[in-house]
Amino acid sequence: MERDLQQICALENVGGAFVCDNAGELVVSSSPPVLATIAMGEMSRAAAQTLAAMDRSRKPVDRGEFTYDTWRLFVRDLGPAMILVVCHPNVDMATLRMTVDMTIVRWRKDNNIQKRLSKRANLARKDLLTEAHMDDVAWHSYQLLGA
Amino acid sequence: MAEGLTGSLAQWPLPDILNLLCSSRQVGRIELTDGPHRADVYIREGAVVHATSGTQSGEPVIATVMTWAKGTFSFEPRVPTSQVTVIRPLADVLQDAAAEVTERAKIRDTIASAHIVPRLVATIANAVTIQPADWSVLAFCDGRASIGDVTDALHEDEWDVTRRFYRLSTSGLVEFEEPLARPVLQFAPPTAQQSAPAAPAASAGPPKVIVSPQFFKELTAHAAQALGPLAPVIVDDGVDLLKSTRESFAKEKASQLVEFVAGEIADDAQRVKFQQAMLQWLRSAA
Repeated sequence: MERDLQQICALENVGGAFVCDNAGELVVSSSPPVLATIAMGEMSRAAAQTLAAMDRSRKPVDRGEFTYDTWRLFVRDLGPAMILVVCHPNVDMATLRMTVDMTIVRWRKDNNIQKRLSKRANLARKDLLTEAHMDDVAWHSYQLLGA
Repeated sequence: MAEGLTGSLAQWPLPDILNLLCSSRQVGRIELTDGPHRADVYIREGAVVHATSGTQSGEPVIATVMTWAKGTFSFEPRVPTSQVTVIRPLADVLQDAAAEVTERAKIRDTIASAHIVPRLVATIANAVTIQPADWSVLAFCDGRASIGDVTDALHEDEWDVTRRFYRLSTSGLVEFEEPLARPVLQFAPPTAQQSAPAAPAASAGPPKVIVSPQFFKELTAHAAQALGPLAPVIVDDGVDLLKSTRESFAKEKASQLVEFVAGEIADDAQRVKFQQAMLQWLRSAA
């Protein structure tokens, strides 16, 4: 997994990549880590909540692209975990998406990787959509959406 | 002839596929996918005998698939089924499905999605007769529940529920509220069209670099290994989607076109092989 993440990071305008489980626990990161472990965990938990909320609102997605002023985040669902890629806004998203797609297909066929990820399946993503797992604003917004 | 028949629904609409396979008296299963949606249609000796998609089965599945503007199909010969949920002749099934598609389009003009919230109108002009089935959805009109919520609560087919609300709106009993504004973050599955950057102004930015003709040769050749003779057509579709022509195709859009074509390849192994070959080519040509 580490080598695959390094290949993703070799793409132009990609800063780093990491895999976290649904609870926000880091599974593996490109080296050197692109962010502090705690930040990676927070980001992945928010991304997992977003994927769960999309699923709950009957618009299931398996990937997401968050665009900010100075950076961009690409998220791809792995089931019990997610791969997150931090990149520059000018990144070639099509190339990034395809590279991650190829990586995931390879991971799906690798029993060791699947075992490594399934060990993490102790928190169902939908369980993140509770008041206990959200701040006030997120919880209020989620309820407004009628979820 | 039909062995391993696969392709894009954009190129081969479902009626064409069914007519082709039924006229040659094939037996087997057609697997149809459009994003997260999947349907299986079984044919036997010139007739459609069974169709299933999620909780739906029978003729409604045919109409549902005919509303898919894109997606892929794959025919697997000699896959039998003991179930029979479609009993009428193919021509009749297709005719009714086409009428259903037209009706759905009309209803979708009013009710764009299951996120729409139905609300009782304050006053009505005339006496209205309500069917029992319509009453069951009317009872949920509290100004907050969306059509999707009502569907969940009733455990019924979303389309049936939507149709009932439409009927109630034409009777003047119900009106609809627009769903909440879309969130800032776009979470739609990416398509080449969506991810295409805005065209630069003619007078601004660096001059556009055009891809070499070799790019299209490589792209078509690699795509043909997975998509067969439809490959050039799919490549041209991608070029159209990106609002360009082969002659003026910008190098910066090359990866988007590769991604579009890759999206048409249903088989994981073939798609990865295609992506690897084309990404390697793009890197070497950079």
